Amino acid sequence: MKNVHYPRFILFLIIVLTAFPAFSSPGMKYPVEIVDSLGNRITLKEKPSRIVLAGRATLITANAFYLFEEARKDVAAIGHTDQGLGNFLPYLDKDFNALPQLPHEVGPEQVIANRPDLVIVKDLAYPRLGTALQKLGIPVIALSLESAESFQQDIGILGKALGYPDRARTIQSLFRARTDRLESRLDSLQEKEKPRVLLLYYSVKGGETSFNIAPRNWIQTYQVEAAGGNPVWAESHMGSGWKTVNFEQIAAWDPDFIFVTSYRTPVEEFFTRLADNSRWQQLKAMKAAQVLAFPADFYSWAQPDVRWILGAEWMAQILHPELFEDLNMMDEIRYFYRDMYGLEDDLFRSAVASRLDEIRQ
Amino acid sequence: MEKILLRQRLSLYGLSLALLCCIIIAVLMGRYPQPGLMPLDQIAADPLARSVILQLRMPRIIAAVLLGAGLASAGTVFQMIFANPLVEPGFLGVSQGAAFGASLSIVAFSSSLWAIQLSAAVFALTGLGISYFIARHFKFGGWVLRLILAGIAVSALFASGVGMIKYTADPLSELPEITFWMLGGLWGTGWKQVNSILPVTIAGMILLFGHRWRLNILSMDDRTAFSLGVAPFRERILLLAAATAVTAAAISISGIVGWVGLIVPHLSRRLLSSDARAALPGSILIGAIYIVICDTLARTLLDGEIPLGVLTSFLGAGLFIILLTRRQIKRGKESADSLA
Amino acid sequence: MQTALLNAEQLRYRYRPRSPLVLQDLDMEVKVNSITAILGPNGAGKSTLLDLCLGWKSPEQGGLFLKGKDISSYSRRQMGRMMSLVPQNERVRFDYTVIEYLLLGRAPYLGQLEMPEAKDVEIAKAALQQVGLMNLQYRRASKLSGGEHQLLMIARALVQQPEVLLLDEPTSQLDPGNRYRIVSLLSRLADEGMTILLTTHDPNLAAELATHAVLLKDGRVIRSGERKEVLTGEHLSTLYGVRMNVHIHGDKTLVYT
Repeated sequence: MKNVHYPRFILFLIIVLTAFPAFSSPGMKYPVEIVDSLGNRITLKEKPSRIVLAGRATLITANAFYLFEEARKDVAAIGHTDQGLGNFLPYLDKDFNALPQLPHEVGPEQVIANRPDLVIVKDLAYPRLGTALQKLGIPVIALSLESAESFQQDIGILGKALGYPDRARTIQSLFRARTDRLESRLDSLQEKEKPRVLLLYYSVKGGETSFNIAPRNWIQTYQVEAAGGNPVWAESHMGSGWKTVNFEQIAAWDPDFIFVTSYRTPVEEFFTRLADNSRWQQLKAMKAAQVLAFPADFYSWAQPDVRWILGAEWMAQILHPELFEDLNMMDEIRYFYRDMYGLEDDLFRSAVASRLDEIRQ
Repeated sequence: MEKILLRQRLSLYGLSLALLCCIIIAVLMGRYPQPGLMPLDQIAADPLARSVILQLRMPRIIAAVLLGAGLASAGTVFQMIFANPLVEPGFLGVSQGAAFGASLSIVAFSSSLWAIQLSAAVFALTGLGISYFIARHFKFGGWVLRLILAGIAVSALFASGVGMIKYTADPLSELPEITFWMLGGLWGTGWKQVNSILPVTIAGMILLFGHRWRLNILSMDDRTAFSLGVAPFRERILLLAAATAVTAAAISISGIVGWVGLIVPHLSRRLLSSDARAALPGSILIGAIYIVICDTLARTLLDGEIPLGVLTSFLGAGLFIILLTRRQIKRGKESADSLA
Repeated sequence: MQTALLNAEQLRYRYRPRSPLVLQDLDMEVKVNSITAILGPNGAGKSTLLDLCLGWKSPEQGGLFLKGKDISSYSRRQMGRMMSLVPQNERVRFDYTVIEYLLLGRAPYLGQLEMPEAKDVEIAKAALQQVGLMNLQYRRASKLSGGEHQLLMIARALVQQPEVLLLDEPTSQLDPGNRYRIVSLLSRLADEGMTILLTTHDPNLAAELATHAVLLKDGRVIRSGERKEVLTGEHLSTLYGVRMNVHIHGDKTLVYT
């Protein structure tokens, strides 16, 4: 009799022993000490369950935060995440619209009225909002997310703080796979093979339109380089902030490609005006039909939001189609949303794909 | 005379009491745990509530008191010394100079509170000096008009200077700081900021307060003051410097907060007396009440923060219009016109 | 024999380094308890002379002496306690009450950080009594009629408890009724021991009020001394450049052209 049960028992033991680690908490022990992207030391006594994302540029920290599917339910209040083109996050969390919405310039008291045990802010909001909250003993994590390295580091910080280090590692490796792919394919490119690229921010503020270039050390410049392009404006803007350029300067550069983005409004308006503009028609890029709108689904892909990698990939396969022939851009985007956000295909098609007219198939 | 003095004394006591009440209400007012007054039992039970009061609200309220008292007393001194009921430090290049100095410090030297304050004070005094110099040297119109015109020009000069600095500033760290100056607010004021301006503000106001009767003499024309045994130029410079330093200190933590220095002295004179002996302490108290009220509204009314300068301008301009259209100040304006 | 309370010796003054002399070779004596009138055509330098006596302006050459001592040796406060000025055109700049405004005259007796007290209020009230404005104590000082305003200015000067009272054109803008009030007040003050020095372009004021006169023409003293001797038709004609006549009727003197 015993002989008959033995193998089953051993099998049972084996199953239990291998499954056991999966049942236990994936290695996160609290209290945990975090060093955020500004170098602040934060101690979290327990796993945070009431998280507030607030302050200026919340969309950037939020879109990174929402990569952690299991953490979404622990959001207690959230700041502005609609940049003008629509809000993505309700697609990820059906209870999103029931969350307390905090304004752009929120005061510390309003934040703590939501009883957070962790507040996540963009680094630029830290000096005011962050320090005020720290004084009250609320843990505040500042994230930068302004470059590829910073992104990797900040995802690690989030993973550690939220208690999902494995998920953080997964996100990091997925990202690294994409950046590595770009790097390896473009590795052998000679300098002269890199097309001259100009990335412009088309701004309409208070009735005044202007074209602006990003500083050398911003992510937009990095995106162009990562895509195998030569950012023609980089050397002329070593300062900070968007810098307005006039048409003469654009003509002087006369780049091969011009990509135009406009964060809060659809950029179509610019293109309709282009058609009538004789000056622009003289540009090399115009004649080669290489003046293109930078893609934007819920957000323009030319900012430190998580989608910057998509922006770089999209640019790469436009600048060097022969090196990326095997890639179907729409599929790549779909995989991105699937792996990063857990967005199912049909939801992807209805919510995201419908917004991406600029993607060449 | 005794009757008058008694009434003034009672008014001052009344104002002090009102200020105390405003402070108490302000301590309890906010958006935590919900918009409005914090229930007292919450303070006992909730350590976070105590933190909010001690770390967020108290320093801010004290800063508001210093700001209001400082700007209002400076405004009174300016109005007396320039014998012009239509001036305030903001009009004479002082506020814009201070903002310029503060912005310049943030971008070019150091962001330390003391550096900002010092730079603000230096450029505030410079702005005042230039306005005064220009007013003395052009030959158009009366003293009142010349001073205001010169002040407008100098303010505009410094304001464009700030614009230039904004253009070159780093939009992530420096620019928001500078933009904050131009709107004015006490958001983010902590004990550090309060301590940094406490010495200058208190010392300055004590000096001004000590001279409160003397200000009347200093408001008279030079020869008359001379005949009364006073050296007007030296004493005026001393008091103007003190008033400017107090203004610059206030601006260094709050940015430009307009209208206080203009409207509060008028209110004080109306309520108490034109005699600076009563008007100055009155300004100090009314100014403090004014800013405490405005700041409390700024952080409680909406879930975001309303810039303090917006509220003080709104309230101040409104009060000014009301005062202008009532008879008393019409007369004051007539005597101002006749000085022109 | 009256002694000179205030005297000027060989004064010379010009507005700016290279501008013409406004006053030259000017000697003047103001005797104790006298009412001295400085007479002269417009632009003769009367007000300037007053400014020099006050110490407000400094002569290029020459000296001014108060009680025998050079006025520059006195501190400003000391001067303020001995000499006070009733200016010609002074507006009250803020909404002071009469009594508040008068208290400003106590400045020479108060330190930089001191404030008027009860005794200063008493002195102010006494001055109001003297000029006859007691009922206007709490009126706004800027809301007074021309005559009342002038009386207020004099009262403020009296609050300084000076030994010498300087007045610049005290009646030039007043109607006869108010003029009379001022004249009788000044006479009374002199009777009570005040030394008065005033400027006027109206010889009849001098005729009515002054005990002594100084005739100033083009910055020079052409005649000075006791009124009866100085105020003659001949001297006044020289002074004003037109035929002037002096008619004496009892103790009243009238000057006319």
